[in-house]
Amino acid sequence: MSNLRIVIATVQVPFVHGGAEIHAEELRAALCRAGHDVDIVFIPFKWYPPRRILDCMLACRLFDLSESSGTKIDRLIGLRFPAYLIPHPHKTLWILHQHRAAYDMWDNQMGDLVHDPEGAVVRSSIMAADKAIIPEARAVYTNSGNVSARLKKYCDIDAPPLYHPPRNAEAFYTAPAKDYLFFPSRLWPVKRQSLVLEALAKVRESVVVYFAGEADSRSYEFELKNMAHKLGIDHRVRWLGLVSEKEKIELYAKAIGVLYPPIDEDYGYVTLEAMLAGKPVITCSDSGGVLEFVRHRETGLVAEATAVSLAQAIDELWQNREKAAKWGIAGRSYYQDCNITWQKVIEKLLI
Amino acid sequence: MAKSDRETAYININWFCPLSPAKTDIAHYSSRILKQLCEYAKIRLWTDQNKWDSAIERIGTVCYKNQLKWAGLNNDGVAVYHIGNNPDYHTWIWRISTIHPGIVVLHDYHLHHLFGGIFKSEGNSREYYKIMQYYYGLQGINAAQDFWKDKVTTEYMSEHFPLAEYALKNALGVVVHNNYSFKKIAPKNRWPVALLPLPYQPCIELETVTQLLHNRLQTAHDECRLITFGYLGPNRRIASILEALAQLRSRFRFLLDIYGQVWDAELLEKKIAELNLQQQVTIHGYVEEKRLSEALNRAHLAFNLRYPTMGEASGTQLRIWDHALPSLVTRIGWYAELPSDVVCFVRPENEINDIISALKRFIEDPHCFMAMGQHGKKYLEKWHDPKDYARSLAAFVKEVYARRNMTTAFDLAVRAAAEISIWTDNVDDAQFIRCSSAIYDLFKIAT
Repeated sequence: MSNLRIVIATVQVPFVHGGAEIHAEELRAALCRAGHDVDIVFIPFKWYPPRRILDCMLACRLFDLSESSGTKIDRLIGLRFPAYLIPHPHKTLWILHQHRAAYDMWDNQMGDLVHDPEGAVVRSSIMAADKAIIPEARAVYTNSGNVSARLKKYCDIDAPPLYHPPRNAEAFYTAPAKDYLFFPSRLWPVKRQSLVLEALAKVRESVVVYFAGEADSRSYEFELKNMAHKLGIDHRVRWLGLVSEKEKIELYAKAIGVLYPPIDEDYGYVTLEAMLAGKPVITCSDSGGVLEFVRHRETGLVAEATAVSLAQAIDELWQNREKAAKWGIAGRSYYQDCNITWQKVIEKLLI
Repeated sequence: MAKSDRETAYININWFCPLSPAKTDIAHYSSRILKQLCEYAKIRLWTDQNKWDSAIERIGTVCYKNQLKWAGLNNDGVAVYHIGNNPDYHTWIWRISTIHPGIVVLHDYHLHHLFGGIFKSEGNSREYYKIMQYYYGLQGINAAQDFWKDKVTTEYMSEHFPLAEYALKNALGVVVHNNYSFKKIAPKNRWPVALLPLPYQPCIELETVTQLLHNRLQTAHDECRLITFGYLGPNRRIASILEALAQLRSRFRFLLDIYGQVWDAELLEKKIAELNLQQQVTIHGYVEEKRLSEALNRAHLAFNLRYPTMGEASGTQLRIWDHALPSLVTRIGWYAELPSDVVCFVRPENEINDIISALKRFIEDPHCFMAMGQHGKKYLEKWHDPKDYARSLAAFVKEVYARRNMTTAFDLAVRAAAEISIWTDNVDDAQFIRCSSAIYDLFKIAT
């Protein structure tokens, strides 16, 4: 395909940088490598009070990205709500997730929209807009089977998943395990670091967990650290904060295994990165996209989403280092069998 | 309706309304309608009262307002808010309606008694002025300042500055009970509006009516019992009724019974004494329902005057018709829309003279007035059936629920227009058009 001018449309919550932002950057890099001219348009997003969401939606509908400085923009690839509402004559969606508080998180204890007095009407408006505007795109994909299932369930829209490799996939390696489990992720209630802390208070082995990642809110970071203190497990926990890419890869390489029990994750780079590092993953049965890759007792362990069940899984992995190494190798070869490449992704997105 | 049909047609309603035995006709309305409405909806009743008629609990769960949680309301159908003029009953309901969108049943159109009452009791002149300026501009804020200094009455403010739109600020839809309110609200094209005649369950059997009419005719030549009842504020025109009676030569033929809460009993008694009407007029105050029913059966003619009107449909009038009682009403608002054979009109600008001539006509031709009572009874049965009301209300609630994101679309349009107005006041500006098309595109499926 000849050189195209492509805009990737996504959103950004100022000062928050996580998987979604990396996703957009990696997509740009892959498209550039394929010879296209690419830019990312970040729309600032604020979700409270709920009517602010509608403002963002309307703003997106008013943008004109059909051309820029007199030159046509050939394609628009929409990634996140509400940026994927931006109109374009040749739009493809690769949906990372919809506004989850209006969908799968509506009835979840961590959902915020349901607790707002205007939650129901704003939810109804978000759903109406998604149903009306997502089908405007020439093709709709998601980043995981889990997101596809939600899109079908709530909006009756069919969209196949397109898996993509994590950043620096080729740099991951395996090293002899040291005595720790690794939990790399933003500190955020949905990622459920708190559940891991509760489990650590119940483990029999002298387990140590390294948490890497920044907190979106300082109060939540304080809450977690305070919780660890109250549970008397300070000695089992290391808070590493933001680590460099190189440090992260090394931490994966030297871990016994990786902990990743989020609530209904969309996709989850952590799973794929663990597999690339040849490490087994402990997750939960309600962790969503993670379960598309983790196979119980083949590439990791799937626990119930309770502290007791998670503690048992942690103890099991900690006690059985050989099994852990075996499951890690199996994970890496499963990843390789999946043939997850940017080339395949780009072929679909630029159809 | 078959059981299966009924189940599929069910909708959940959160009902915010004064409940019996609250001393307001809206509580009686609630009791009348709920029994019928639960055929179509699962109802949860919200209250701030410590006591309620236990029979209501057979209709739906009664919850105290402190139990309210937004997540519960968000997951439980539609809120229906009843807004009337009495701040004691409606302040908390209105406050919730401004936060959680729902359907507003507007029992009065002129709502200055409610809002004036709320802001004055809070001493919040700043907010009051702001609202009056928003809805009525300079004229509004000037009047608001006069009202705050007690230079003008609530009745005056109510007549000229009804503030109905303020009560509908966050409404998903509106129910009104008369054409008067419908004509004012529907043309704004802001909300879905349903015009449903106020419901009333007749209590008086046809045989009793025949007997009542017979008795009235028998006794009309001896003495004529006049009656007025309900919450008797200044707009119920009791002073004018007394003036008319006092001017009537044949006043000894009439007895006037006043039932219900009087806004200023002392003032009224003074007026009665001044006009030397102590023999003709009795103030009974608030009495039990049974006693009031007996009084309505005994009466020959009722007064149900209003000036100004609050834009209400009158539950009092429906009760008068139930007793097949002829009545005098002011030719204004809902009352003016009534057929001339079911009421006798009094013109507000010629009030006392019209009352005098109506009373004279009664003495001359009581048969004519008895026929009016009979027609009123038939009119009540034809147009104010609670079953029809409940069916229509449930259908409206469902329709509004399906289109509930219209309210967010409208709010978005208002805010966007406010922004665009910063740089243009041309309503044909392309920016307005692009903005409205974008809003339509966003919500077109559900609208």
